[in-house]
Parts: sequence; structure tokens; C-alpha cells
Amino acid sequence: MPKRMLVTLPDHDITTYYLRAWGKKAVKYAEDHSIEVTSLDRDKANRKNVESYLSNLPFGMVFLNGHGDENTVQGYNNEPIIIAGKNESKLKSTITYAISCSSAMNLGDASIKAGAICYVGYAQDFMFTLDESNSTHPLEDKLAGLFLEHTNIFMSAIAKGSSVSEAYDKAKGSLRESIMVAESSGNRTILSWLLWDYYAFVAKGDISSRL
Amino acid sequence: MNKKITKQIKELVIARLEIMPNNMKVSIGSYGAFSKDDLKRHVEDEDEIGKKVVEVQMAFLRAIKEGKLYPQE
Repeated sequence: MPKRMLVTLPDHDITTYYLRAWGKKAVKYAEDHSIEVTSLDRDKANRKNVESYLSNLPFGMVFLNGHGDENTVQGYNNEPIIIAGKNESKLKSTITYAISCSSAMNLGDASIKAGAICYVGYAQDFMFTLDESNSTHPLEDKLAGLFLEHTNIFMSAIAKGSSVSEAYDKAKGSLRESIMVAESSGNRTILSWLLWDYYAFVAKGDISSRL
Repeated sequence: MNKKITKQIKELVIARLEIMPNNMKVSIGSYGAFSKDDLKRHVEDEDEIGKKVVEVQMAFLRAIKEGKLYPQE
């Protein structure tokens, strides 16, 4: 599998601003482990660019950040960039990780049917808490970290050569740790959102594969 | 979630939201990021966001009841 990764990092609202900050950390893990990264940053995270790169270069991994629904992952300004029934075949032969609401539900299955090796993502809305007083420094936001750290754990493990299954288990473990931290801090409202994400986080396809 | 939210459930969820720290917001999918007061208002209004909040909170309470609060795997 080519050690090359395509990443989308839109940044047009508070949610994508946070995802971009945490996503860039994941990109660094990949680069530190000799994975060639093509980043579609901010307004470059559009359908035309995504399709063009996936059509013209062999990528082993696709890392998508943005809003979504059961059938789409979205890019800059919520433009659908991968759409079930239209272009999911672009993910053929890749391990795809989409931090995007609900896309693992239909798009994940459609992608695998169309030849994607794996689709890791969320089968429900992805939610996270944030500390308004830290919102200009997403990586220092401990509230957000409880929800987003697992995404970096997953990407770090993949970058180091773990299988999707191993990386997924580590990421789930990270979410369990976050649940314990939230419980011990006595903040039960955070627990509810964390548990939601924990059960929404799924991995489909050949999870024995690795980059 | 299309069912009307009962008064009892609404009160329960709003009580749970009340304990949220004031500096905390929740990013809910494509809907945006909401403060405690925003979320309470959406639950009162029973709109899409409010119904989603109720869905999450009720799933949490079910998890407690079923002993699934601390997943083992």
C-alpha cells in the first residue's frame, strides 16, 4: 500500500477550526513516520481537489475532517466532497478515516462496496465539548482534548505501522480513559457526550490492513 | 427522533444541562457549538437540536440503567 496520505482540513466554523488544529497534529505524526502527506487546507478542501488527487495519485490513506451526514463527508463551507452513490469509488484501495458526523453509516458501507479497504468513522453525529475561554487555542483546550485525543491516538498508531484494528482499539481505549477522567472530575454532562461518541466510533472493512 | 418530548423528559434533560459549567460549549455536528443556555432553549423549543440533545441524554441514562456507563471494549 502506498505510504501516502490525503488530508482535508477545512476551517470555516468553530467545529472545523478545532478539527483542523487537531488534524494538523495527526499530519505531523504521519510526516514524522515517512508518510508523504498531501494536505488540502482550508478552502482547498473542496470536491474538485479531492477527486483530482484521488484520481491521479495512489494514496494508501485518506483522512477527512469536516461536517457530514449518513451519505457525505463535507469540506470547506460544507461542500459535499465524498458522496455515497456519486464518487465513493474514489476511496478505492484506501484506508479512510473520516472525522465527520454519521458518514460511517451509509457512506462507509458504500465505500467498502466500491473497493475501499477500510472505513473508520462515526455512525452518529460526532460531538465534543469545548472551553470557550480556550477556544483560540484548541490544542490547549482540555475539554475538547477528552473528545479529540482519540483521533490522534488512532492516526499515530496507523503512522507507526499498526493495523487498523490495533489503532482502533487504542483509540477506543483513549475514549474509555476520557470517560474515566470525566467521571472522576464529577462532570456528568461531559460523560453523556463522550459515551455517545464512544458508541458512534466504528471501523468497517478489512481492519487487519495497515498502511 | 420525531416523537414529542414529554414534559417530564424535558425537565429531566434541562436539569442535567443545568450542571454544565458556564464556560463550556458543545459542538453538535453541523449545527454548531452551543452554550448551556442555548441547549436549554433548544430543548424547550423541541427543535432538531433540542431533540438531538434529548436523544443523547436519554441514551446516557439508559446506559447507566443497563450498566454500560464504563464500556469494557
